[in-house]
Amino acid sequence: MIALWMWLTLAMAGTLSEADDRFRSGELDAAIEVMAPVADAGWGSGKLHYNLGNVYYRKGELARAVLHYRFAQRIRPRDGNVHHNLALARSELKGLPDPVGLPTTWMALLTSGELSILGLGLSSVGSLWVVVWYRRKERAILALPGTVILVVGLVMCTMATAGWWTTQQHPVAVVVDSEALVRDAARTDGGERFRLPPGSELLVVRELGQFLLVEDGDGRRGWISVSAAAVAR
Amino acid sequence: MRWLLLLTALFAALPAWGAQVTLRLDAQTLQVGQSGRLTVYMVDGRTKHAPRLEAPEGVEISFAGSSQEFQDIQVEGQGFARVLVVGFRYRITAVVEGAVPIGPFQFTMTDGKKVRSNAVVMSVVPRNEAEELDAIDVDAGFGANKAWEGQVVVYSYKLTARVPTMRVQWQLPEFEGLRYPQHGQPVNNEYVIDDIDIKIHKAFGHHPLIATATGSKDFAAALAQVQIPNGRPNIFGVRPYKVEVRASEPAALAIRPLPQPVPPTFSGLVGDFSFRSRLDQEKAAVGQSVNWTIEVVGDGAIEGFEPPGYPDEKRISLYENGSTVRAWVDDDGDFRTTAAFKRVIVAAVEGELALDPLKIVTFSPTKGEYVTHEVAVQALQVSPGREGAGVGVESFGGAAPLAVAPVGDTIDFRENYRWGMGWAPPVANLATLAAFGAAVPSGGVLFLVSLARVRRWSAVRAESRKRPPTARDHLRALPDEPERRLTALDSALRLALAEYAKVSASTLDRAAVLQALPDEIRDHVTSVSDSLDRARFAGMPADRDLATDVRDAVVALEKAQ
Repeated sequence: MIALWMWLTLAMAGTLSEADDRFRSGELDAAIEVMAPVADAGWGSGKLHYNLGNVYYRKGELARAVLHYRFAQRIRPRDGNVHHNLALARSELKGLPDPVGLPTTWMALLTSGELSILGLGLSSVGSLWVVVWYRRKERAILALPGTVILVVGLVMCTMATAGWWTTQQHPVAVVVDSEALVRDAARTDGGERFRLPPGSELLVVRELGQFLLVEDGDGRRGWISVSAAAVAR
Repeated sequence: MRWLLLLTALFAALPAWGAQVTLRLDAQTLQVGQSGRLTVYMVDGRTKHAPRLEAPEGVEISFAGSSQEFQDIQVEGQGFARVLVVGFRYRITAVVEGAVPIGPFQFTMTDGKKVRSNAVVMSVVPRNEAEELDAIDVDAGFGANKAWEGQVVVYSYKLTARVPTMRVQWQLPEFEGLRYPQHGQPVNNEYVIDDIDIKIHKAFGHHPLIATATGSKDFAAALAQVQIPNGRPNIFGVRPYKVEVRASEPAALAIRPLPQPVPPTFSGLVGDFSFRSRLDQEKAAVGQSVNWTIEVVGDGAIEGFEPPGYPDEKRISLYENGSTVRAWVDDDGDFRTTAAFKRVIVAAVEGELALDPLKIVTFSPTKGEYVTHEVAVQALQVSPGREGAGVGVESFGGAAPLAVAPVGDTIDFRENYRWGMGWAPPVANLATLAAFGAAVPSGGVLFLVSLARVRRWSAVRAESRKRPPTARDHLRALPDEPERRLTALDSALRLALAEYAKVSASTLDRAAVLQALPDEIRDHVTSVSDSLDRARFAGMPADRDLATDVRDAVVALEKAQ
């Protein structure tokens, strides 16, 4: 498993180093061309999104930088560099509402993938414990620790899946390119409620056709066009 | 739900917050003898009891029920707030002709605060018995048959049914050459008036529309599909109905182009508007921000309008600070708009700052001409700022001010990762699946173990069912019904005595066995037996807790064996 992981790591490292070479030589658009296809396909790693955020930051496209830092934050929640550059990009954007937080508090420490792997480990240990207890025909009380570990592992896996599902259903969206008009109805002739500047980080409450019902960090809600924001799903 | 929709329109974008009470009449006009509904809406507050409304002369008011619901209501500057909305309904009956003012009323809320409501006026007209009225009457059209390009017109439609109705569905014409304004939603409502011997069902709506194309426009009739009950409800409570369709007269509207030439400074506003300027303070220092609000009230659409600024004014800097626009159709079917455009003025020079009045050119449909509004801006007394006064900024304690480096010099940008995976597999669901897969063997084991335990327990239970009941079995399942309870207690004691004497219960000689008991338990068991007999056969109330005594006696007999 470790060997496979190392092989995969080495095999896929080319994207990052190639993009970084271009980044360092000032070819920012070329760096984006290397990384954007992987990111757009939904397979971008935390490091890739972080690097992509850095490229956009250097280009001066701070809203897109914030978008990719939010991606990276979800995948690498304990990475101080991500938090640092995200805060830096936010500080250079003016007039933003408060950014929306993470869907659940544990996601500030673990990704849903990490939590599910931890749960997998625990449930495997617990399962093994129970099977060994049964084979040795030990006293019933000795099955209890294994059962508890098993149940905890399964609960962690369920939480991880629920967290993943929440991020899919209610992802973070970032207003990019230009100011977003927030309407009171999911229609192009809906009344204007307020406007959000580029870089605003929003929670997607639900989607309806070509509109997103979003909520900003100040609790204000309204509909924006799908094209007005990029979704960090 | 209908009243909640109304309420949303009433309280949309509340400018301030706190408990609010509003009176609302369903029908503004009633004939003598008719009854309508008056509702008291309490938002974000309530009274302890249903308030009693003092009926003014000319009407009678009686309480008719209440309802409450949580509503998400938009509060200006605070987004949406979830508040409790309580509605108290009253039946209001017209007694004497005339205009009857109702309210304002003062209500004492549960927190002790007193809140005053608005007032409404009901018009009571004489009964019109001679008028021949259709059972169902439909009317639709515009308030006027002429409009100017850009003017907001309201298409209103109403149905009056003097037969029982269940539901009304409207089919409105295509409004070619008109469009809905950005602000101001259509209004729909229904209510019922109780007449002396019938109920009059009224359904109506108002659609605000902006005239966008010029020329004569003809619009098809509005169609109302009315569901009329037809027969008794079936066994499921569903009442059959027939549908009748009624059509209004077609409507026409002549839209005139705006007069030429259009003034170069025309704001684009078409309607009768008034403007007001307001500064939040009269004095300020150089460099200090002063909030400036330009308020607009009118009956036209405010779309794309921005008040003019002072681009050439060097004495100030002017910044936009947001705007709010509200529009609605009122009870009379008229379109109303209010807007507040907020700006921030920062004065650059000291002295009296008297800005020129703002000149806003609108088109007035009632006058048929362009109107220039001069909006006076209050003068501002500007005092010197700190720098202007030549006074240095002193730090507390006399220490030198801290040297603050520019942000860009202290906060560095963290650079890229060069090594690592470029892509990340989404493992959450796979790992979860694997975890549940890993749990299968142990789950199977636990299932088998549990199954074995259940089987053993079932076997023991079945075994216990086969043997004859013991004294303890009777004591474990004592019934609640007094007579059966006494019988069960007697059976328990009899079985315990038979067990003690090693005889079957059917051949037990109770007196002989009681006599043969050891001295230390004989009196107690005999006493319990006598109490039981008295309770069972003489109907005497037990002078003791028989269940506990029998249980003690059974235990004593078991021990004595």
